[in-house]
Amino acid sequence: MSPNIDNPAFLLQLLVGGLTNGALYALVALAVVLVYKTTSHINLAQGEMATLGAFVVFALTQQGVQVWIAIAIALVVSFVFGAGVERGLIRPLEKRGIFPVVLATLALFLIINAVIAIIWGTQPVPAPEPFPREIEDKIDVLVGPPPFFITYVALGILAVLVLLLVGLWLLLEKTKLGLGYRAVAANREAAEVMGIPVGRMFMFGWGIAGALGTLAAALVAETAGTLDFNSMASILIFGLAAATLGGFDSVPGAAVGGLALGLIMAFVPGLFTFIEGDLSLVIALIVVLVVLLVRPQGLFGTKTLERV
Amino acid sequence: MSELDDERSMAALASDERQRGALVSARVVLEGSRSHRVWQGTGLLLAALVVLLLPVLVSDFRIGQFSLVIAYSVAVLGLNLVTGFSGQISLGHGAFFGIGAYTTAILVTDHGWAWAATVPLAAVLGLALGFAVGVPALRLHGLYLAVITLAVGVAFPVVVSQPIGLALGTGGVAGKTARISWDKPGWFGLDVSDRGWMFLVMAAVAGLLFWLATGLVRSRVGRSMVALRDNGTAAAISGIWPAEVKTVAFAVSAMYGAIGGSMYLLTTPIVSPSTVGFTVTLLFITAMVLGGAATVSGAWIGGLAMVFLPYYTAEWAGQIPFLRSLTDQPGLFANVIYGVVLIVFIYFVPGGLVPLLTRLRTRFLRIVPPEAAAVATDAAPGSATTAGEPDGGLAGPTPAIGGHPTHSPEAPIRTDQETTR
Amino acid sequence: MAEPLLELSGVHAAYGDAEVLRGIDLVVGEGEVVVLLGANGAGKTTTLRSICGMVGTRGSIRLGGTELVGRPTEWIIRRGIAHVPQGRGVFGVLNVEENLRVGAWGRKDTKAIEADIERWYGVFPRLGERRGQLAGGMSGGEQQMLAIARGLMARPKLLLLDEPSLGLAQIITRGLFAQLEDINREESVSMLIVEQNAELALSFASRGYVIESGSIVLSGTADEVRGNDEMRRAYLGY
Ligand SMILES: Nc1ncnc2c1ncn2[C@@H]1O[C@H](COP(=O)(O)OP(=O)(O)OP(=O)(O)O)[C@@H](O)[C@H]1O
Ligand SMILES: [Mg+2]
Repeated sequence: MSPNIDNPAFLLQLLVGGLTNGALYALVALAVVLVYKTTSHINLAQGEMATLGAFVVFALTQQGVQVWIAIAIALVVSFVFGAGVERGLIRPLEKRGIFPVVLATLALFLIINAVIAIIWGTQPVPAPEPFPREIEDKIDVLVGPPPFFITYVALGILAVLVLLLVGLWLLLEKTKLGLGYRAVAANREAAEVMGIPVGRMFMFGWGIAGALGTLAAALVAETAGTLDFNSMASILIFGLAAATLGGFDSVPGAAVGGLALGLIMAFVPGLFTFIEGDLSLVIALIVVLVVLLVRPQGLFGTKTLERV
Repeated sequence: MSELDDERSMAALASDERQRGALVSARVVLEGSRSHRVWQGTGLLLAALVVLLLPVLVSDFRIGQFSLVIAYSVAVLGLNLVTGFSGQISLGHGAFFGIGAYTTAILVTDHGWAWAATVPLAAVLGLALGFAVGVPALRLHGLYLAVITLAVGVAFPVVVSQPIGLALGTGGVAGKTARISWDKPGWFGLDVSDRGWMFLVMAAVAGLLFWLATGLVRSRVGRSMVALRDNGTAAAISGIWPAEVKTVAFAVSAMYGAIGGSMYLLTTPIVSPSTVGFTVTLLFITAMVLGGAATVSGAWIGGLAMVFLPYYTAEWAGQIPFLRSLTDQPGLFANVIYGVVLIVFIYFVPGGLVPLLTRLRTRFLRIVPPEAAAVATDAAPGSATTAGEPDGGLAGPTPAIGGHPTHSPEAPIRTDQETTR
Repeated sequence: MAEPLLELSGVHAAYGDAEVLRGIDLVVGEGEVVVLLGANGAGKTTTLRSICGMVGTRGSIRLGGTELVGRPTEWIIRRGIAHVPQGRGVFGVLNVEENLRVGAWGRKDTKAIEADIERWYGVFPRLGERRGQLAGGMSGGEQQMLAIARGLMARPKLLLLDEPSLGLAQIITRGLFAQLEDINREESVSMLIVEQNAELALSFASRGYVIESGSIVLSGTADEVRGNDEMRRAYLGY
């Protein structure tokens, strides 16, 4: 047990840190879920596509584009790219079951990962900074000692998650497009018979996922301070773990799962000090295993990941 | 072009040939017959001769490359067993490979073990890790398994560089060195270098492992694996225990991965987190698809590709100034090519190269199982492509990735219903 | 005679290797109600599915002169066909009202959509009472009502009904058929109905077909079909 167990500032710091990281996992989990809901596939290249998007942001800011405009452009590009991948690479394999699709996303993983490294090199580059991240960019809550403060970056990330969730909710629940998407997710064949362009709903899901991933990667880079071609490798695992925890077909589940996972990964090593070094991936793996053994459909999911 | 078209055109071709009598007509051999065994024996002998002569004929550098081919082939073979034959997705093969490599490196360097003594332990550890990963497979399907194995594959290289790994002697990010070299024993008559001798030992070990794998896929367990892959429910009804078979497949696959890792250290004196990273897993997968997932011999082709594709790509990229100016790591181009090759194969050659080569061979030599002897001269398209070959025969009519049912040529035509394979 | 609304000629269909339809010829005229009868597994559902492009099909299926074979489902539906699938084809995680709105997917006339929703709530009060409830949580009969109302929301030229009476109480079934008759008369919606309740369907339809193992074995006016001895023994039971 950590000796700081009764120190409120320490605990609050863990809480905020956990939520901030959790929000990032939630974004990736949302991307995974939006792809899964309609197509029942998992895009294993989601993380690499996201990294590519973040590098687009980086390249644009290098050209002097204002960072938020760069992000907006990158989101659009990622949307188009995600939708295009679904249409061009995945759809033709659709009827052959999960395995060819898994392989195709792995191929994409390899290609994108290498292309990023070829274009931008293997050394980390400075991350674009949508939120101010100087040492004084924080809100002091407890003066201490020990002090407790919340950085603007943490606040920004949490705000982005909240805004996104509201936006997604409006999009899915209040628009015709969202209705079509949910209909396809609920019953693909029936949706087809209603005349809903099912393929376009697939593309929509993949597109949104692509954009979400890019946003996540840009924010991951900001929290890390740097961006490199392997930035999202572990984050994808955390996103998948969060989606498993929340339920692969549940949008709110992805958010809750992400935040919960963030908290688990902050508090477990924070409180049990015998855990040395960064074993977050192992913790994620354990979380996945426990969820699958106890409640395979996740906290909010309805169906288990089966696609024969 | 679909595989189906292939099959049909091949069958058509064969019969055309017979009718016209113009081209070389295929020789038909009964499976298990004397002449079949003669053919097989000749093939094996030739292969053995090539392997024996290699270290005499080519440079030590090349021998180093071929040694690496052997190490990778063994690892890829493990993947074939679990994914190709038993139909389970495994994205953690780099970790299994890594377990073997690290075990050997640590035991040799820190504890002074002989390489040969480390291999059984590496194998057992691989078996254990594979078993641990395979147990969730008892109740989980496709994508869950992908998620779990992916997590294992990504976590492994990270964990070895953490304090817990360091405590075990992994050497952290820098990796673990292990210099292993043997002198050629005096009794060995051929004029080969020490490197060449090591190559021959590796080849012998690999030969044994491939022979065992062939035995496994021909055994009851192996046939159950294929049956389960193709139709889980039917297999379960016919008395196969899915849980046991699947777990065995996973454990054995991991064991092959680990032994491949041990052998890797005979070719390269260091193993580091990047050696066993997720990229390696992806390369294993590509190699498996390339050779033919549901084949044993495809692993060789995969191993060859894993060594020579990056080598020649780097050479080629080094000669083109534009590419050279892009990056100082030409290996990256190889990764792009791997990805493209993988996509091309998924789309156009889902069965891999071995079934393709088998089909080529049937132009000249057809091996027919005894039951089919009666109709030997007019074998059905399916058996014409798969009969006889140990791999093809076992893979049955569904050597394609994902083991989805083949469409009969008579299936009604509605283009969007038929998949282009 | 003018071109019929729907014309199937020599339609073959199969699931994988198994051929289920073996050369179906069938016609539905403009404003006509046609019933398709047959034993379980005869291929009735498959016939409707092949019209909608949901199963591998050969032959010719023409809607108002336009060839449908080879077209994607979405394209076919947009040409004015609504399909009420057999059993529960509702969107379980969408509520009743959302299900109806999905039914009106191809329509742009927002006002008329609202009016139609209210209309079907009037016809099926159970649906009106449960408009906010998830469709998956409703009874089988309620789901069936919803599926039919959802199909009609599309304001189709041609309505394909696959066993609409399945799971409905007698009285509801009769009410439903009365409604269908109204719709057919007032809006001249053509209908192709698959029904196990042959007596009821024949009293409403103008013509009928009997399908057996994927082939049409009998066709004619409703009276002719009803009068056929074999047909009576097999499907009407007297
Ligand atoms: N998805 C499918 N895959 C394979 N075969 C199918 C499929 N659907 C139906 N069949 C087969 O096609 C044949 C016709 O089925 P269909 O559903 O058209 O019958 P039906 O006349 O509608 O019967 P019912 O009165 O029971 O609804 C049956 O033999 C059935 O086994
Ligand atoms: Mg039916």
